[in-house]
Amino acid sequence: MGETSLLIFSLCMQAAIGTMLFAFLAEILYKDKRFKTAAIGSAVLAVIGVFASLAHLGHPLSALNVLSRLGKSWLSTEAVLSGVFAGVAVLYVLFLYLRSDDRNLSAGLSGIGSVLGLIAVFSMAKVYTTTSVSIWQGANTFIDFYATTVALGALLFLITSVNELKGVSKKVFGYSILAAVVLQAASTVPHILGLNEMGSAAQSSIQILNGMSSLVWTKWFLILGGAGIALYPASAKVQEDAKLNVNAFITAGAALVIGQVIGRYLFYAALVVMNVGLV
Amino acid sequence: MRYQGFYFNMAACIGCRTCQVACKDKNDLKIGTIFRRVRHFETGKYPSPGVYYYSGACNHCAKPKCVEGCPTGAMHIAEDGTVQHNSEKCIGCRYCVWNCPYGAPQFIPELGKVAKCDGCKDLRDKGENPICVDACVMRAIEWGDLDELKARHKGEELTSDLPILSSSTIAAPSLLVHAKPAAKLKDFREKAV
Repeated sequence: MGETSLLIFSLCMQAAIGTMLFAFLAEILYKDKRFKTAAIGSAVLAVIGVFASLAHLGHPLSALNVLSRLGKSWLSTEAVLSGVFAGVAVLYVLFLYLRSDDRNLSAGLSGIGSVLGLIAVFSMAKVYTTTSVSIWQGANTFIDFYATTVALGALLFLITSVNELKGVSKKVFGYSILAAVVLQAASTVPHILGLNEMGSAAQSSIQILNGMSSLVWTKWFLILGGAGIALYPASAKVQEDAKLNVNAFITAGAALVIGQVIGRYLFYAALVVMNVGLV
Repeated sequence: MRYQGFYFNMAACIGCRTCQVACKDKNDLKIGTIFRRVRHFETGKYPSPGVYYYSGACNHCAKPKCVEGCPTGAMHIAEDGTVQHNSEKCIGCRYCVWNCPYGAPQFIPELGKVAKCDGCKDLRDKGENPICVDACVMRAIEWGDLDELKARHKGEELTSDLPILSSSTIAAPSLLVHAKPAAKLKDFREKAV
């Protein structure tokens, strides 16, 4: 499946981690509520992500070989953390259904899952920034991955928790999404300017992106537009029409997801490894 | 640890690609997979044009990024100081392909695994040279202990940094190039053949 499986893996895993993170924060903020649909969403996305990462391998049945370099190779660390996160996400769902009265346990699981997930996102970014691909190097990859985690996570959490969040202010989620995507967009400018100063591999990557400029603009239009649309229902008064809000969240979610998919496609499409190599 | 690698005399290379063909033949590589490749570059313009060839393979680096990144330990530094690949451990993640600044590891879809130049370990174990070394009609390629190669070519200006290559600070390649003056110019253009 080449880089398509990695696109699915990275986006699904980041969205799952973000959803878990906001489920955890919501459990802290609203102590009397449970977010079962969000937990299921996070677990399903995480499991899809794990299967997509296996599909990338030439020998998926030997995937456990990655345990041998845990802590020494960023890819090994990322793979193990992602797998453990998916396990915690599934456990979180099971406990929400089987032990829904035990609030400390569910908050504890979502908290552990969130911390593991955020470390997994760090290791995901490290996997790319430590390669010989110029365009992946630098802080931009970290900002891009964490911004995607927060933006997709917050929006998916809002969409899957509409019933639980009735009568509750959602401003914090709306502003989180907006802040994440604005930071994501802002970090791109110095990154691209910095690439102009780098070697021929970086120049080749820029040329690839220049040839896809319409996709680049579509990506930012959808991402920033999606965040803007999400802000409207998120900052609306709590008693306003709930159905209208749900539709707005779904529209924002669709725009944001498509924008992030295009963004991640461009991330892999601009892959140029070395200056002059064998290929 | 002492390191072994290639010496390449660019001034002697005529770009015949015999090394490339011999490597492909010896390793029985199919279309799309290559462990050594000769590339043709031009620099400058009339009245001072330049031309040179670069024959590249795995540089058996002292700080190999493929080894550093490999999640399974399939890529490793062998006892003889060369970078070797253990196919049994390889899961086909292709991370070494992204990591190597010289593009040496090649993913082979039919195998679902990566493979690369091993410096013809089987031949070296029998006391012979890597196939590219013996195939070169201009004797432009040599293999050996880096310190011994440096001593053998004392007086020559040897480098592993060329404008066409990634900086040697990234992976410390075990590569010694006797470069032509044209190869030090940054205005290179690759000529597809």
